[in-house]
Amino acid sequence: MRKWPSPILMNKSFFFVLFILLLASSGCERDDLCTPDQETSSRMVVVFKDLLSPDTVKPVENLRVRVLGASEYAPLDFEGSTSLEMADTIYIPLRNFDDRTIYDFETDNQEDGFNIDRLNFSYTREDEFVSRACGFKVNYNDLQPRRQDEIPNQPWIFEIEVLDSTVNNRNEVHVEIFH
Amino acid sequence: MKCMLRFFTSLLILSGLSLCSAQQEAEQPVDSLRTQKKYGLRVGIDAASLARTVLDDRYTGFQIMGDYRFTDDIYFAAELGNESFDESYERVDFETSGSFLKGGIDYNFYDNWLEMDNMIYAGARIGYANMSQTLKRYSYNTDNTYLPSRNVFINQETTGLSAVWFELHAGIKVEVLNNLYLVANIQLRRMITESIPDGFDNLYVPGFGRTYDNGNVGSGYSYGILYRIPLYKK
Repeated sequence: MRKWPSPILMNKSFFFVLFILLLASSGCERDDLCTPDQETSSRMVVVFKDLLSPDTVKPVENLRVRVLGASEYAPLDFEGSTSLEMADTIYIPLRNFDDRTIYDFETDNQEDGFNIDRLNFSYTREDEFVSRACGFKVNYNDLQPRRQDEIPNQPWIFEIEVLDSTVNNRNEVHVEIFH
Repeated sequence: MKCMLRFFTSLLILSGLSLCSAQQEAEQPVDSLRTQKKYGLRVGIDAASLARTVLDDRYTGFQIMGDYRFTDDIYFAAELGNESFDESYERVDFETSGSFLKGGIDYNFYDNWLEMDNMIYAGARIGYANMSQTLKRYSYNTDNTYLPSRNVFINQETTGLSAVWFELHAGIKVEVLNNLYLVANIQLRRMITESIPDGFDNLYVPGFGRTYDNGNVGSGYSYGILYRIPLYKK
């Protein structure tokens, strides 16, 4: 093997320059950013169906939902809409610091008027590491919805069915609500 | 046409021969001037980790290194050290501490004149670390701010973790005084295998440095002082 023969390498100042270059080149580090394509705590996906024909999607008129005690309404989709005129599928967040989230579902239509039903979603939580920039996400397991009784009892939601009790991605429907 | 071909062939052979002989002539005086090389064990400390310990509040580290001359250009080399790193990100606080050992060879590409004894070298290492990871705090990634989030203070320590990686070095070792050397290098690494704490990850590995969310490569550098304990000449 032929070796590096150049006399310029003899020079000690050449070594010094190389030394400095080596030090300088080691100073750069990549940044870590939490990008939107990384996993987030999943939202619960709810689809509204017709009580009389359970295979048919039936949108809810003027739907708004709000966590018990909150003054603002929850986002229903990924554009941040808090109110939908005709809602057939909504994506709502669950609390990550408690094992249940209570939502008031509000609807307002010509025939039946304004009506609020209170739903109680309970679950267990499991934290999963995402990345150093994004931190963790919550997976919700054993999801159990329950409609709270009201006085006088005039529900607009008649039945709730869990399709997938594990809430860990937005591509599955977790709950069907029949009205 | 045939004649032309023969002409070029013979020209090629001739020029080849003359090149060969020229090379021989050039090499002979070098051989006759060949001086004896010093063989020995070089040991030293890494100043980079000492400097970082002083300058960087998050970091504490110490590393010794050494090499042993095996042939003219091949050295056995090793590094041994310990590190701890305490980092706070926006959503994760953690601390890593442990010790590491690297072993491998350095190959000298530099042709020294007379009794000079410098190296421009490339090296290869296998690295091993034994460490603990402590997840101190974390919070959640959410796609909305409707519900309040919280910090989870957990202080969960996982001990007995290990990692094995492959490493390439490029650097220089320069004799500045008799038997005293300055060394500087950059290092490129690739993780081979690591044990990962349950429900978390190795965000820093002693001797390997910080890891990246996507991919299993890492990089680093080192500079320091070596002293040669001369053993014999050859």
